[in-house]
Amino acid sequence: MSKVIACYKWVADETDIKVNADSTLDISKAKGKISDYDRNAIEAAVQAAGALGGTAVALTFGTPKAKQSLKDALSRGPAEACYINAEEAARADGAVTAKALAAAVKKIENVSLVVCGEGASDTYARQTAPRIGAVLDWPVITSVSSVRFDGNALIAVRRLEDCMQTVKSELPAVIAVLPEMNSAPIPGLKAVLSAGKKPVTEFKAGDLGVDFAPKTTVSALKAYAMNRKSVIFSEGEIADKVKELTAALRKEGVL
Amino acid sequence: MAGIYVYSDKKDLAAELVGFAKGCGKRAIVLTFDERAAKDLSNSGADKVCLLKGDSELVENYGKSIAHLLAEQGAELFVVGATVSGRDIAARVAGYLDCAMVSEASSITYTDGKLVTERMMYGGSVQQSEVLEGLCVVTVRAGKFEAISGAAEVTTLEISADTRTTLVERKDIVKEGADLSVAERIVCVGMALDKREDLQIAHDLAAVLGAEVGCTRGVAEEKHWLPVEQYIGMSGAVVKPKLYLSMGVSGQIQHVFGIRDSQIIVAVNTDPKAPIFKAADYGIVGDMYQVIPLLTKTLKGA
Amino acid sequence: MSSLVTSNTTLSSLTDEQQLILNNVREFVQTEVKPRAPQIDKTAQFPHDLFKRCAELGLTGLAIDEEYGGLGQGVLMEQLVMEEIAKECPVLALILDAHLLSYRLINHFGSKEQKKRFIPPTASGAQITAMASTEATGSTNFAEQQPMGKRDGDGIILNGTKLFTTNSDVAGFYIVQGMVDGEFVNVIVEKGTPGLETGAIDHKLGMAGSSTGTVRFKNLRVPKENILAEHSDVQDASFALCFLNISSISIGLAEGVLEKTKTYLLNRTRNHKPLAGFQVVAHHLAKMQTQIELAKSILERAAKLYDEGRPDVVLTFMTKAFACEMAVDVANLCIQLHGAAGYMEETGIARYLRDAKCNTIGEISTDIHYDYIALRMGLPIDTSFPLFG
Ligand SMILES: Cc1cc2nc3c(=O)[nH]c(=O)nc-3n(C[C@H](O)[C@H](O)[C@H](O)COP(=O)(O)OP(=O)(O)OC[C@H]3O[C@@H](n4cnc5c(N)ncnc54)[C@H](O)[C@@H]3O)c2cc1C
Ligand SMILES: Cc1cc2nc3c(=O)[nH]c(=O)nc-3n(C[C@H](O)[C@H](O)[C@H](O)COP(=O)(O)OP(=O)(O)OC[C@H]3O[C@@H](n4cnc5c(N)ncnc54)[C@H](O)[C@@H]3O)c2cc1C
Repeated sequence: MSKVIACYKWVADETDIKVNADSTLDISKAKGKISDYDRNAIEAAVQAAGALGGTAVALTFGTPKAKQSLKDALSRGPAEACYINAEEAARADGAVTAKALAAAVKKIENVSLVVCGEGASDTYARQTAPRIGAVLDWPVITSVSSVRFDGNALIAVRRLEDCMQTVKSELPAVIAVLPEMNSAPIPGLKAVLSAGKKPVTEFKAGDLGVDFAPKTTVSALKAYAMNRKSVIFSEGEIADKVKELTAALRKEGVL
Repeated sequence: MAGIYVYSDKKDLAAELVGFAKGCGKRAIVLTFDERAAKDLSNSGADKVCLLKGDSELVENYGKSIAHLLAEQGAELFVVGATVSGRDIAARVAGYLDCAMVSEASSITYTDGKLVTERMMYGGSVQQSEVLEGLCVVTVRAGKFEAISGAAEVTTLEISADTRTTLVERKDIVKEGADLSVAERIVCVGMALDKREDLQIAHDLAAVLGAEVGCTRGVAEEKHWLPVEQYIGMSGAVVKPKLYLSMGVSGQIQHVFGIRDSQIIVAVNTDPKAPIFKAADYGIVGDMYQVIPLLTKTLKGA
Repeated sequence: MSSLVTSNTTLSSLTDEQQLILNNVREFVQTEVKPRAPQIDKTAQFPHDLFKRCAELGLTGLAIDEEYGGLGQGVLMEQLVMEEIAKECPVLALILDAHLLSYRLINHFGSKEQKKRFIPPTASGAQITAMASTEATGSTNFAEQQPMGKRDGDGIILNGTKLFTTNSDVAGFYIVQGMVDGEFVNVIVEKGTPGLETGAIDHKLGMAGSSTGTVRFKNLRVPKENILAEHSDVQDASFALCFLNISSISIGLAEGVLEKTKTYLLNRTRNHKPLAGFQVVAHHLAKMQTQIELAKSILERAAKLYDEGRPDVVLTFMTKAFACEMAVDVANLCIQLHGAAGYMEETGIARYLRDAKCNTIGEISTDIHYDYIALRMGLPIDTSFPLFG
């Protein structure tokens, strides 16, 4: 049976990121979560596996911390999971991530489709799917709004700025899906409880024969400073607030 | 030819990127698949415009060949307009070259011969600076650089395509709303809207302001009350109007990402703690169902 | 509610699965329940959509044995889930509570066949269930209760009226409790049985959207298969378990209203300083937080003892009495701290007080819980009915 792989990233929940007084960041207390759009990718892979008569496999490349994501991912429908457990993931850039994931795809064997989310909620770089495609030299389709299959062909509708494009490709292929693809339902509790019983394959960094040296060097990471006037009319009658606002906008010359 | 290679499926954006390349004091080589664009870009101040010809209608299919071309020519940087297909090609090229790539850089400069970039992370709350060496790829959104002018030679180059993916059909998206990225004023509707008919209060205000109506993601993607092209933010439109006025928008970072370049930001929200107020120049704490009609009336009267 | 000092610490550490279940329930509550809550309160319409979602997610069978299609999670998990739901929508939690109450009675009194027949649809949520016990003479005034029916061959003919039955209008079957030939019985009455009439009370102080109504029996025949085993004592602890659910609802409710109040007071200013910084106000908030924490502690202890198979019935009385009164006090003070805004329904605070009040009455009046505590203390209390001995 062929395998459909859903790549997902375990990221820090951005709402838990604290900004220190000097505008450096404290991510240490942030809880982890499956990157938002990757939930759609997992659901898309589960559906595609159904359509292709294959099995869905959740695949993640992460630090040892990402281990806690496995049951969450598996509760969303994949039959098995695969975890590249490597400290190097903490410093990985788009190049390293794609090479690690592609290496795992090769190890898994008999893969007909790799599904990625359009972008991760931390970096939102949107590189992973095209880069995996390049490493494997497989066809890639990004910005996918819907897919169907016809034998060994994949027919996808892509959303571009000004048009919807329908393209056809042969399998195996890599796709990046938009969140509009499906609604990624909240997993039922039964699915959660049975997730732990599904098989997980773990790869260590050394198993993959991949160069984990990132190509980019991060030189700084700081909070984005919002520099706005923040004149908020909060007290008094609505009519007065509206008057104050119109006066201010007139002064700014934007009316 | 060494230098900065430029590509965008939007020719204005390609021209802006040429402006960037020349501003760095480097040679600018434009890649394009479109004959008309090649002609227009021959006056963009580039050193060379390369019209690429091959047998696929899908530009993404040339990723591998472009990677070879860049390596062969000794390119220093491949800078690509951040559109859907631009981002796709850029990442494929980076993948085939196994090189560094920065997506949607908000700033890019050469310092001591190294490329220094800045970009947003975590939906826009965090700014990451990176240093890149060697041939690398960067994507940039429209409006970051100024186009220049000057004549360039146009050459044609045959290039091979990966034909495993083919175009079946292309359907224009019928734009119901205007192009928000160039709108001067925008009224933005959030999930606080109770029902579709209530959009009228936004349209009424937009009419007196001469504004377009935009929205947050949920209004378009969950409620389907406005077309998806009308939502603003990190995964939607990035706007830079003179005036952006939101009603019932909480101001989550992913949305605010798309409005940061607005000249004046105004928010109406019942919750004084809503993050939108931190991103706003002016705000009214109040019920939009009362505030907005009154604002419309006041502006009409004036 | 990550900002709360309580931070969801539990004595027993949760498994990964349990933590995931809670995360998913939280997401469900925030994205699907929270937006509906004010509307349910306003229209008082039974939230069929949300009950269905609870069933799909598996919440209706959370603590029910796997043998009957449930998920076999413990009592503690059920409490944590109830609490989570009640933070935003106490009435949805109450509906689930009434549903699960019926399950507990069948599980306790039922035969193997009865369990096999009635528990699976309860676990899957295919049927909503109700428990009808309260009569016009008073819920625990068994001495003065009219006989509810008489034996007829191996069946029972029911005649009588039950009041204030949660889920009365929507239930697929009812567990009816009452006196038959001088004995206390529990029977199952299925919807559509000739002689069954139901009616909802359409206007009550709070918990709007739960259908709290009358269930009437006119010469209704209960076949032998629907009579639950005839214990005249209700002393078993598994019944007292119900009081934990209502306590969790009160705790969640208090947490929900306190969190909203805290946010409000951090933003509301007096003389350009947040009200939450005024010591009197801050202490009110701190005391409420402490009260909630106390209630959580006693509840967790009681739940844990159940899960360990050594239930303490008095502790459940104490939990019910303390948690439910605490929630009324908290909701009341939260309105006070909001000023007029709190009094206005639009602010979304007032309904918490209206809802909270239900719980000091429902599932046996708090005063009677204190009666039993007093009894266990050896005090010479005169109770008309030796509930739980
Ligand atoms: C990876 C990722 C990408 C995303 N990309 C985008 C994007 O591109 N664009 C985008 O918009 N979102 C995006 N989002 C979603 C984003 O995080 C927010 O969920 C979304 O912007 C919230 O929309 P909202 O403000 O309309 O709704 P809400 O957050 O629900 O806010 C509604 C607001 O209305 C206020 N309100 C309620 N009633 C009234 C009233 N009567 N009068 C006035 N105010 C009232 C409330 O106080 C509240 O602040 C993205 C999320 C992720 C994870
Ligand atoms: C929203 C709601 C939902 C309900 N759902 C159900 C349901 O699903 N099924 C069901 O069977 N019932 C249900 N009830 C009824 C509930 O269980 C009873 O109302 C409750 O047990 C109190 O009984 P009562 O109303 O008969 O009060 P009464 O017995 O009339 O007592 C009135 C008050 O007198 C005091 N009192 C009474 N007896 C004593 C005593 N012995 N010692 C000291 N003080 C005493 C208490 O203060 C008590 O609150 C519901 C009630 C409400 C409000």
